[in-house]
Amino acid sequence: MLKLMKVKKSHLVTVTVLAMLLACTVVFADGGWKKGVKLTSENWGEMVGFKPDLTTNPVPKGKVIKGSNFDKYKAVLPESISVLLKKYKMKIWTRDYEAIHPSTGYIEATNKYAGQAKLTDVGKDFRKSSISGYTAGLPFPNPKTGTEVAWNYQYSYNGDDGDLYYAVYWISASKGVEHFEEWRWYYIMRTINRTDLEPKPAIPKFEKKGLQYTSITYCLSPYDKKGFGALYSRSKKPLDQQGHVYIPSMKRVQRNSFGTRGDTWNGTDMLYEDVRGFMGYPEWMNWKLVGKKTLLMPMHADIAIGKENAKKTFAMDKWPHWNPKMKWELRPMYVVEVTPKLPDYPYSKMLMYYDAETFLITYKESYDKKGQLWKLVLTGYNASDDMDEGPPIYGMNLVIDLQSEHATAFPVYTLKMNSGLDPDEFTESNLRKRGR
Amino acid sequence: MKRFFILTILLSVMVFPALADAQEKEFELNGYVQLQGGIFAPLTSNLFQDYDSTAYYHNSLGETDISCDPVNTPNKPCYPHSHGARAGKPSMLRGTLQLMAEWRPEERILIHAVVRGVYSLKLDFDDYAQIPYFPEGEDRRTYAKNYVWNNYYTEVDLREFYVDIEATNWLSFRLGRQQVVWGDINSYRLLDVINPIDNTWHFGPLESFEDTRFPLWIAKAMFEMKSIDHSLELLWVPGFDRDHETVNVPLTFVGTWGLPLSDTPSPFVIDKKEFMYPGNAFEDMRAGLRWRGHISPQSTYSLIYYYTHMMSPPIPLYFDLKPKLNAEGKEDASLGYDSDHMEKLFLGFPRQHIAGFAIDYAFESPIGLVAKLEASVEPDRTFPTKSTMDYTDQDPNLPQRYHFKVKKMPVINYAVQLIRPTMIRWLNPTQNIILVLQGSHSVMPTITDTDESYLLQIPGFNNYPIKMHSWKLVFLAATSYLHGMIAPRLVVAYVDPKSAFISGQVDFRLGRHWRLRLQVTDFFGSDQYKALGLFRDRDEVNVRIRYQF
Repeated sequence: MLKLMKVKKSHLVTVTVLAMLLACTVVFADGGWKKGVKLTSENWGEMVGFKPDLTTNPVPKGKVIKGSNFDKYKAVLPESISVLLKKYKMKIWTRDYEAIHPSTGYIEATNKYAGQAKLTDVGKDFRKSSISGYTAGLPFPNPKTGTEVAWNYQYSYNGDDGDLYYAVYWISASKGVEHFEEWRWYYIMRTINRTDLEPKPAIPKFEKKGLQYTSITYCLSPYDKKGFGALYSRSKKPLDQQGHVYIPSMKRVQRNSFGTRGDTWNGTDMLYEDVRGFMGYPEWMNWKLVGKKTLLMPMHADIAIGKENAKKTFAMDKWPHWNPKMKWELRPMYVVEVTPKLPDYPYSKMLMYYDAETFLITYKESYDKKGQLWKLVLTGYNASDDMDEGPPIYGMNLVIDLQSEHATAFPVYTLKMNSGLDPDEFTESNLRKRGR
Repeated sequence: MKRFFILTILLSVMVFPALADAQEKEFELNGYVQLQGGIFAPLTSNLFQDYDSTAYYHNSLGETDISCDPVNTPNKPCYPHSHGARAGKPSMLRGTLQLMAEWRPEERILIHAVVRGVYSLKLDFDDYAQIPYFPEGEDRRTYAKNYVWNNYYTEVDLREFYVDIEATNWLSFRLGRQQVVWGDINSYRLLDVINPIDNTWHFGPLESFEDTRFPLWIAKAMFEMKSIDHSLELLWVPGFDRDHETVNVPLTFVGTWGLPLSDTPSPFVIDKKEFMYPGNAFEDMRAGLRWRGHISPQSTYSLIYYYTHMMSPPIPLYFDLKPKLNAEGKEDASLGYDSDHMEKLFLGFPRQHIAGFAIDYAFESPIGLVAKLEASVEPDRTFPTKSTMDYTDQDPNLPQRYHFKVKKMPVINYAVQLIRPTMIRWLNPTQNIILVLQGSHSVMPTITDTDESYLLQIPGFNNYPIKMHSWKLVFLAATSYLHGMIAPRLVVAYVDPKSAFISGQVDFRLGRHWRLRLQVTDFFGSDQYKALGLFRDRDEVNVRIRYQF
């Protein structure tokens, strides 16, 4: 009996140790963060998200994936991307995975404030704020639900400010480039919840007004749009954007309503909410986490940035005139199914693909009211110049309307981030002053 | 000289197009070449029946059935009955070259210039222009047509030329020839009172104010109080401008898009009209200020004051009668003055104050609209009188001079505008439709029955008296299709009493450089000598094609 017990005891210890090891592995693979765990630039990815599986479906660097060999790699690509590869001859150039972490300031803020944010279910009352207790950094390391992923994106690391020169190309698969415009967009991404630039965590005058974001954008060309400018800001609450526009033909600044959700931006294929993947509020949608996958995505895309490279970023001379040239790598991705709470929203459903280290959206599928795949939004990022101080560099954006075979491409000319923009620049009087 | 200027501009266009594709550069040159043409085409308002100009002689018993030419018979009592011309007459054909250059020699300084050259055809309708003076012996129709063409339809002008200086973080200046737009509501110009306008080539609301305003030489300073998100603009108009550009061009000066001949013509023969434009004098300087700020992120307000001149209409102030002729046919003042023959009629643009405010508020969805309220008070607006001797006083010092009994009265104007971008998916599945509704009301609180009996809205139109209340309503809907390639717009305006216009417009974006606009406008008016009825014979189809670079 004693002998038996001894055997059983030894088995018990072994089983216990094995179970603990297994549990640790599971926790590790699932995202290891819990209250009290210190996040560092080394453990960031595996703690706040999960490690990519690089072994089950390995993808060697330097491969070119196209329609003909898509099936071999379909396990590491969203199914919908087959349309781009098979029908529209898009190519995917592969590279090795590289981990990404946010700035030291963002990691510090996450260490300091993570776990304090709380969510409440606001149901259909989507103008009511559903988050409380959030100060700065990533609110929900190791998210368990689609809503937590959505909030992580909402407060994902993008630097505190940015200044972007870019172009907008209207492209028809049958006719090629129809038109293009050039724009500047400079913004304070974090007027509150700041992590990189002083004052931290908030610029008092914006905090007082309850504004979390402000920006000025204006058109540089062509002549009939040149000088059109907009100043708009986002409230901390899930309200419509507020802002003013300068209309050159009127020589006047006018308050503008951004109250219509589901409206396309500037006559492009992109809705206002499609900007950066999603430019709405989590309260406006229902979020369901449907998968944690290792997928090929363009996070170190080596996109040729610059005005002179616009036609290198996109193969505009070759049918369908919108295919981007960039590198893709295996990334840990959260896949979230999103359905709108907003009435009369043009999309019935969206699938958003979030990078589990940065929580940026790199790929999005939108479905029409009949449930048919309608649009794909693809965003490519280049590596940060210095991860300790700045975010990945936004390299290009592409929105494809598969039903009308039309796309809008956004090549980037220049982008500066964390340059310390003057908050006083973002005033209606400044918009007025610079009007011609 | 003009040709040299045009050649220089064309050369610039050839040399600098590479600079037009800009990121943001130290120097940029952009512009466009445009051809715009239209024809009068009677539309639904008159059931495709065009109007004709008719006029009949009056004799001592009243109107006769003998037709007359009111243009070429100014010395006889020829009374217009109707105005208009046969369908198919051109309403305009003008070519425009506009260049805009910007140079930023350093971060805080920007120099901006706009040059515009315009060449137009002479238009048949301009033979009805009521210009200031007709030389003896000239065919008045031909002379009027040439006068309009020379003075309004051809132009080479440095329209804008100013320097922006950011002196400090809170103080900036814009100095030079510029347009300054105050007020928030587009169509009514209650507070958009700084720059005069020139509507001689097209009906005003159908053209962009940017193109129709006369830029003035202005010194503008802006103090920004960024901590409270407010600003103060101070404005000084020293009066360096060409005299006739300091006020709106009188709409009697052109025929095509001007006012028709009045159905109550002056009982006087008028040899010459003298327009006493302000300008180039210390006492004609103008100045104003605007205080603007935010009450909340949803609401902006501004307070405005401006000391200016009445821009429109020109007010007949006094006249000099012509001396009677002696037996030898020569003028002889000792014989007295001819009681129905003016040697000169003097029209002025009296001084006035304008004060007002504007406020807006953005309502959240599902209301999702921006509401604006704008109001102005003109405490001392001057009103013209009927053009008869009954409303004149003889000058105590000059026996030939008579002063009209013009009257200054306060006028209160206010307007409300509602703007709502609205998704109507069965009309446009991808782009919202901007719906704009605006209404304005003017009231003269001190007006009396006597005032209404002799004070006029438009000088010379004796049957168009002032009223205590007047109303306007405008509805606008605009959207775009095919990714912005086609942009239709509909404007419906109602002007009291019982007149309106409907204008449909479609803009086509043809690539990066070409733009095409088609516009059809139909005017309605129960009385052809009041409000928009004055234009009821100007139903028009207009086409504009532009190449921009």
